[in-house]
Amino acid sequence: MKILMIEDDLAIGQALLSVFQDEGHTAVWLRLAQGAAARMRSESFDAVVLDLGLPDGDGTDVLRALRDEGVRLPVLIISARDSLQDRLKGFDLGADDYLIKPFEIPELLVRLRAIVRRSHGALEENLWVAGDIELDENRMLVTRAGQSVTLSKTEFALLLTLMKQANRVLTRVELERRALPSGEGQSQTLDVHIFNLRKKVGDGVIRTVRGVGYMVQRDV
Amino acid sequence: MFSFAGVIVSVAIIGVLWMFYEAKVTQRTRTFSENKAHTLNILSHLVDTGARPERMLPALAAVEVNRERMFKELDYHSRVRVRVWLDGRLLYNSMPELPDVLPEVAARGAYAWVGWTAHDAANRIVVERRHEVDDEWMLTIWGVSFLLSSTFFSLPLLLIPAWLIVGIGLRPLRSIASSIAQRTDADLTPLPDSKYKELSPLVVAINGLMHRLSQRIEHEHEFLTDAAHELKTPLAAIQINAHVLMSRAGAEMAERCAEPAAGLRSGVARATHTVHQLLALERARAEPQVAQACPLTNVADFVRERVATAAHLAVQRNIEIEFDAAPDAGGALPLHLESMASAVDNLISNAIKYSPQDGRITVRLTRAASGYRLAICDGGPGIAPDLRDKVFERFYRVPGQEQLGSGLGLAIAERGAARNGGTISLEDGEHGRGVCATIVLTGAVG
Repeated sequence: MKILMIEDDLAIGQALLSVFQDEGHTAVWLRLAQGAAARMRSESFDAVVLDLGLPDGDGTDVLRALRDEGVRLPVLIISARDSLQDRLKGFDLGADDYLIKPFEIPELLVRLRAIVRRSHGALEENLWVAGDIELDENRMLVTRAGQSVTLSKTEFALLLTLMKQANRVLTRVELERRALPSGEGQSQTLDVHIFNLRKKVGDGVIRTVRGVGYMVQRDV
Repeated sequence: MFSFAGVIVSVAIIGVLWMFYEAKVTQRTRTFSENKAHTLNILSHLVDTGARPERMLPALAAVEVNRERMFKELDYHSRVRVRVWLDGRLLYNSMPELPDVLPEVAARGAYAWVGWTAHDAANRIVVERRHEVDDEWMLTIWGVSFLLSSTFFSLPLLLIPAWLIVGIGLRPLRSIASSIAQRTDADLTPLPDSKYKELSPLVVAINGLMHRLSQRIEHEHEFLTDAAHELKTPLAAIQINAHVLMSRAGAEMAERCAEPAAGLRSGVARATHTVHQLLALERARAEPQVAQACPLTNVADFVRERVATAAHLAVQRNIEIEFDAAPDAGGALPLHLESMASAVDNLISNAIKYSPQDGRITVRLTRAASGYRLAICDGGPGIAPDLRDKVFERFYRVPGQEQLGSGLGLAIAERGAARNGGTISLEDGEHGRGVCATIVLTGAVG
């Protein structure tokens, strides 16, 4: 894909250029904000990697100008500014993602691919994997190590909620609100569903964090 | 210079001079009146003798003896001259050695004299009595004590109003002092204007100092934040270049360089972690200029959320983490969420970091006397009691440990807790293993 990189720092710019070339992407590197708008009009890019602190202006101004013109180009901000306000401002102005320097290169590439795919109108991810469990949201299928597992509607919703946010503990309240049918607010109900789910899926999938909630580990 | 001390000294000098002048005048009038009475006394004695010289002279001698005895008893040193004329002829002179005319005004080495002359009805007997005015009496111990005694005994009367004036007058000053004393070290907001005009220069000066101080602190804060931010760009460059280097090295090279590559990656990760911790430390600092909302937050829900966020790290290392909220710990406190979260997160992250594999961490929330008590206990190596104050110092790390860290976690936690009116202490862990980090929250957000 073709990437426009607006980054004033020489060391980072050169290194990122090498990364993009090694990955087989075409990259155009600008070190100032002023030529960016003209460049985006004259050439077509798949994505913009935008640094915020530029010598002749702020990266957010470039983004604002871009969005004011109605250009729907996916933009990934890379910045050292890590406060919540800065990140929210970036998203408010229409950034598709925000990565804080320093970052891991694989993460940059994954996020870049994700925003480009989203801009092409690709379907939402609907296949979830954690360890040897696979869950297909669209077809409502669950397999463990290739063996199909039959779940009730509530159990499927519970497992889907947990797998969508694998590696994160979901509190009982969150699980009850998102996965249980409304009205089933009693605290034992959740335990019963989890107990049944565990019996069907098998051990070592759903971990309990006592006093907090449950989680599914992505890599076991 | 016209100063308060100058005014006091001049008033004292004028007072003393006035006192001496007054004493001098009084002494002269009193001596004059006494002398006049004595003169008339002598005259009446002499009239009684029937104007016969042989009876007058012994009477005059007796009067003189009586006077001398009295002067001796009273320790008077002034001189008295009595002269008596009978039918125009000088009959008696008690001090013939003195000149005829005596000075009325004091001069150098000579006292002033007062005098009175009296005569009988037939104008046959004339009595003249002159008395030296004893100025030096004032300089004797009797004179001085007489003059000073009034001042001395009036001292309490002077001091009571002075004491009242100082007490009442300093009351506004005391209220300013106590409002300064009650402040935390982070509170540099200006003092309210004093309603007393005399105190406004003090208030203005203190507010000026506070303003300069907070500006300076703000500059240092900005410097530290900028310095930390500046480090991120070179760190990012190192990280990206390391990635390019490893991805371009062939499979064989990658195998040979696996160890230094891992070292490079963990070095960058550690530096990045330190930079982020530094920024978190600065963010946990109370910012008096920015009034930030501290929403009323359910403490148990808040802690449960923090445990949920961190728990996957524990689960990855097969550490069991458990949250236990007492049934009565469901109340809400005003919390500054960002700093409180970084306090709790750092304590949980420490507990996970130092717990052994298959260890156990308990996060326990209970009601305390005036708020909540959050204890985070691990089963790790623990911290020796004599190091438990030292570990809160920035960049201090317990010697001989293998875990990587910035040495800032507890400092951040302490600042974050302090911003929420809490304190952190470290105690022995449960069953004598590990350490319990305890935050006591009172809900007094700073």
